Amino acid sequence: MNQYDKRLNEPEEGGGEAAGCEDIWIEDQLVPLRSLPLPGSLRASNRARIRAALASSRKPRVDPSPPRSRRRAGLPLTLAAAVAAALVLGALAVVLGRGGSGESRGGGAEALAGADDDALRVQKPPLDSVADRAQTPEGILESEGITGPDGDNTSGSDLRIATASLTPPAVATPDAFRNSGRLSPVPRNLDSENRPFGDEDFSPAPAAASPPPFAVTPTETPESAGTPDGSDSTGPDAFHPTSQVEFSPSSGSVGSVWGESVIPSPAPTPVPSGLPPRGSLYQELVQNRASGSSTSEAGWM
Amino acid sequence: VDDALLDRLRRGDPEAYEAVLDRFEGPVFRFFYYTHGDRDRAEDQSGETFARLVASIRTLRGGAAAFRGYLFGIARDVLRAGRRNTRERAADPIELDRLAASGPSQADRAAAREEFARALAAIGEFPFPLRHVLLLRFVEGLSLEEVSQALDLPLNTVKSHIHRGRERLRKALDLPLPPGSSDSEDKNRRGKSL
Repeated sequence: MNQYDKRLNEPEEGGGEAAGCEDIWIEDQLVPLRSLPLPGSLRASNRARIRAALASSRKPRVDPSPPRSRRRAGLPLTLAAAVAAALVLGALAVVLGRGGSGESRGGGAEALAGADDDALRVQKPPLDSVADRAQTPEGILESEGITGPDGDNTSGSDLRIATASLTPPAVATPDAFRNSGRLSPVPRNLDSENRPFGDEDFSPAPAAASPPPFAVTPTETPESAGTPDGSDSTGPDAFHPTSQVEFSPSSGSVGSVWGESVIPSPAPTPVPSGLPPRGSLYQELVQNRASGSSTSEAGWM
Repeated sequence: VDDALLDRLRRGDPEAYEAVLDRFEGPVFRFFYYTHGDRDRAEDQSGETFARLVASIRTLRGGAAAFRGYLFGIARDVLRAGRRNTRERAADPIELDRLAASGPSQADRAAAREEFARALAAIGEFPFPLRHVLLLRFVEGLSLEEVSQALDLPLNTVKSHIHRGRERLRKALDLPLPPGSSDSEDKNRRGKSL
């Protein structure tokens, strides 16, 4: 029995006897391909590759150079992050600079609206002190001594930034606008008394707690107000009593403020007993009469 | 390859890989050579296959029984990786001369040379993956399951390839031998008689 007959009797997988016979026939036709001579250097090259692979698998996997994927993705990612950070910082600086040196307050306010609240909160004074002091933001800044980086507190970008930052959110209501008098809002609704909001005079109201630094005496009532020649007028030449300053050289007093006389440095005189404490208004009148000087009683009596 | 050898391979024993080379160096080289006919390329791809085996032997599942299919699966991946630059060409005539010089007698050498040339011409007529199915199944002796594993083909597909291979091989063997062969007519009659 030759090899062909022996394999015919072996069970063949996946087919019957005919299929097994056919496979043996195919194998006989192709088996000469096994006799292909191998290159002389094949064993040496295969050994070298296996040794190299074994050596690389035993070494700890410390890759000094990142793979191409990491080189491609990592470095541009770092650069992109740096460029993005620089752009954000630059944009923030431009926005803040434009908001400060903007031509209109609205531009500055819009710029400030997107800015960080913490950055603006530094320049915002307490609201109580703002309400109790001067009526204009510039005055507030001057009284507060807020200055910009350039030292100028009356103009420039920093003043506008501080002006916008000093506006408290509570002023946004009509009553707050009317009471504060520091803004001139455009009324859109009726106030609490159903009056058109906006017909009112939002000019700054006189602050009772802080009188002007000099004495002003209203010598004429509004009924007698008029031009110096006696004609009644409401034009630009109208006589404004609030701006009239009376000077009384005979009494030595500069004038009166809200009914009080201001006497420049009177000499100390003995005060009779039973009188009100020294320094009161009555005491000053007694002193003036005792010294024989005429006062401007008409201004306030 | 048994389980003990597989354990040694997984531990990185160089002697175990030497045993693998003794057993599979020729089959792997032939797998590549009969695919494109380039000896240098086949040699380089063989080395790449064993290097990948070292790197991935720990991922082998199925034990020693799956080793052959696993190894030729690596060879298939290596072949696919270099397929772009592969230009299939005819068998190298140098191989026929070497075969002619390796026989014990002149008649045997002539017969071996002629059989090899016929088989080489026949297998060259098969497209892929039919050529690989026939090579692994009938030249290297893999089982149907191992061929299925190595070529990543369903088992029924492998069987159908083998069925079609029989028919095509019949027709291929009826083709005349390459010019220059002395007893081509005799071999043709012998093939038909089978």
